[in-house]
Amino acid sequence: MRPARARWSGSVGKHLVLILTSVLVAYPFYFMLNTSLKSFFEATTVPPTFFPTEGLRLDNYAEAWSKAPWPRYFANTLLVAGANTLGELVTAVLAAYAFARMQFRGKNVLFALFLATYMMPGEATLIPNFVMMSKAPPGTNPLFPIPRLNLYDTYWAQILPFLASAFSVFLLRQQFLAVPQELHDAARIDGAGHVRFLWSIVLPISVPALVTVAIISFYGSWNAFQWPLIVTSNPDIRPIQVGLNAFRAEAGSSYHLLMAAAAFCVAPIVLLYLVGQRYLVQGVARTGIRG
Amino acid sequence: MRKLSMLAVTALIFAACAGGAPATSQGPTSTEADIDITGPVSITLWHALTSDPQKGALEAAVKKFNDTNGKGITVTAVVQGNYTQLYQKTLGAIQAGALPELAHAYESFVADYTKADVVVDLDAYVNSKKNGLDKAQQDDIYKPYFDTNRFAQYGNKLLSFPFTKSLFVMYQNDDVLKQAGVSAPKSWADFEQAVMKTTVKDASGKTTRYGWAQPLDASNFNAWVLSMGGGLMAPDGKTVAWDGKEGLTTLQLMDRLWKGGYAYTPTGFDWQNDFANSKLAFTMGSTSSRPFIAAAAKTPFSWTIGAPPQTDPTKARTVMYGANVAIFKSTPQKQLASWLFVKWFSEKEQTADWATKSYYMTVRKSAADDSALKSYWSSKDPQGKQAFDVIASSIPEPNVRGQQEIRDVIFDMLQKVTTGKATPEQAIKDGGAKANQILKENQ
Repeated sequence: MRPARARWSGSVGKHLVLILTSVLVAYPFYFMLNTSLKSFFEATTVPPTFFPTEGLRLDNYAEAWSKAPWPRYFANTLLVAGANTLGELVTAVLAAYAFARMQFRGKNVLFALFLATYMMPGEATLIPNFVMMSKAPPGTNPLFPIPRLNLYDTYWAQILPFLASAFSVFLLRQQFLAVPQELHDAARIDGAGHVRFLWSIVLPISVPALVTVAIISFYGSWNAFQWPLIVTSNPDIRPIQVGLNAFRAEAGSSYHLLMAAAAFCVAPIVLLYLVGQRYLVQGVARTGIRG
Repeated sequence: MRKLSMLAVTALIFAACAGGAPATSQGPTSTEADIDITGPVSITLWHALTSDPQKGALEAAVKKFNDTNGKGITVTAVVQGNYTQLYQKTLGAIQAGALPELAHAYESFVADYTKADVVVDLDAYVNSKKNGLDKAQQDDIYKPYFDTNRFAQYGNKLLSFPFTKSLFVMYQNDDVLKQAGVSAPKSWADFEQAVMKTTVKDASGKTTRYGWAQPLDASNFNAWVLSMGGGLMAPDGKTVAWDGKEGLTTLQLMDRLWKGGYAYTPTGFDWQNDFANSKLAFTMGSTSSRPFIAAAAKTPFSWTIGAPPQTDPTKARTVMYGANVAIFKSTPQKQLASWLFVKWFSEKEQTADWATKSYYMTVRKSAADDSALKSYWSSKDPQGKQAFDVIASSIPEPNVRGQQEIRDVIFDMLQKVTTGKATPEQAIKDGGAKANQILKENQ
């Protein structure tokens, strides 16, 4: 048994590290909220003031809200992020189960190929995906060399390319591999097939991993900017991140308004994280995934 | 990460240029430019004016055109992010065959788009007897604005038209100069002395006021080289000219002032606050910063803008900033409708109104006579008039293919000198060699 003094100093050390890490994580949020309550003058002062010294400018929030059609942007983002999350969960669960529990020829090669798509930078797929979403020009083959789906400027263009994710498949496969074989054997003796085993046994004990996938997927869709900007032109179907552009110009930025808008854009994600953080931590711990 | 981004953009350019959508028409003929609009025509303009007042001003102008053109032309202006995002989207749209009729673009963008043969040559439209500009109207537009939109690599064709123009100017805090007993510098030698004299350190040695703050940017470097009497590109367009004496002198000046602690490189736009609150004597950049500087001032202060210091003040030269608009090949009706909008936007009344609402420069000399603009300058924006007076000294930057990459080379060069990672001599030598290699690959 360690002496009390050593235990105490070990505990202090751990707490110091945790406090320091918490400060590092919380600082960007503090900076955002602090700047959102300042005047333009104070928001651009270097070094920044630790608290607003000219009174709290709560009207920054009203002004930021008036600069873009935010209710529409929020509705669009909720729709797209919700559809992406749901779709990604369905495809990832099925693919992960197949890779984890089923035996078929070429499984490892196929899984390696699957993972290879995760290594590909988004910029490399930007043009092929854009071409796929657009309409074939008159007189050209709509199926060759890239199939044309004629989905430019639609919600579908923002949803379709993200309905499958190699990372989510990998994460869930790790989780499904951890399900004891004995459970599978018992289920088979009771007459359950793969679908029944997946639905009744695997999914209920994989809730943390499923919530993790859902949060990561929703978070990615919520923060999506480049792809929605590329595949849409109609402001009525664009998401919130496009709205944040309203505060940035070529020769300067309205930082106080930008931070106010960022605060109400990030609020739902923070809320989602607070609700699901227990599952997220468990999911990451059980699947052995490290950030 | 930066290398990855560059690689990705290069890949986009290659993909866009390698197999663009089939052009639906060849270069415009006088017949195409001289036709009439025969029915309702809808056209789309992609632009990079993401925020007010510029975005709102453009939307108001578009509405006015739609309401008054009398030909059934309807323009829809769509924000496509900042310039980089707009450029990437346009490259993708070339490949997908989904281009709009018009797009806001820098010269280097237009050079890349033209490689895919999707840009309309505007000469026939400008010179059309029916729909063009007569000689007096053409002469009323500043010549550098035409020059910047002519592309030597493409037969000197006019491939875009001035749209959101600004200038590289020097911002001078007159209150600081008065306090330091320094007069406004005209030459670079005067400027160096003024920067040193206006820098203030406290007893602990901490700088409380800098003489100069300078965002690092290729256009800034180009402006300094021009103001020192140098050139940017060899006459044959095959090598850069900024890697000579004037480029080296520029880097040596920066090296002295940065090493001496008289100047700093801002992060973002923090220099606007420093300048507006007399913590900074000089800075240089786009005329478009005026509204942000005015907004950043806690209390009113006295400031002036003008051309940067000159080696020969009688032949002042600076860099023309700002973007243009290109028309893409579509149908004769849509191309003409696009041109009619561009022409209307450049008219005296519109360009003067645009200047009062957007802080951009007018494209016509005659706009100086516009009573509303004069009243606006005298009551709200005296620096706008000072900027207007510099337009005639502005010179376009090179618009050759590869210029976008050369800008990155210049940025790296400036960064290495100001952070002490290379001597001015090494930096200019390496930068020039890299830029010439880029030009060689793009011939």
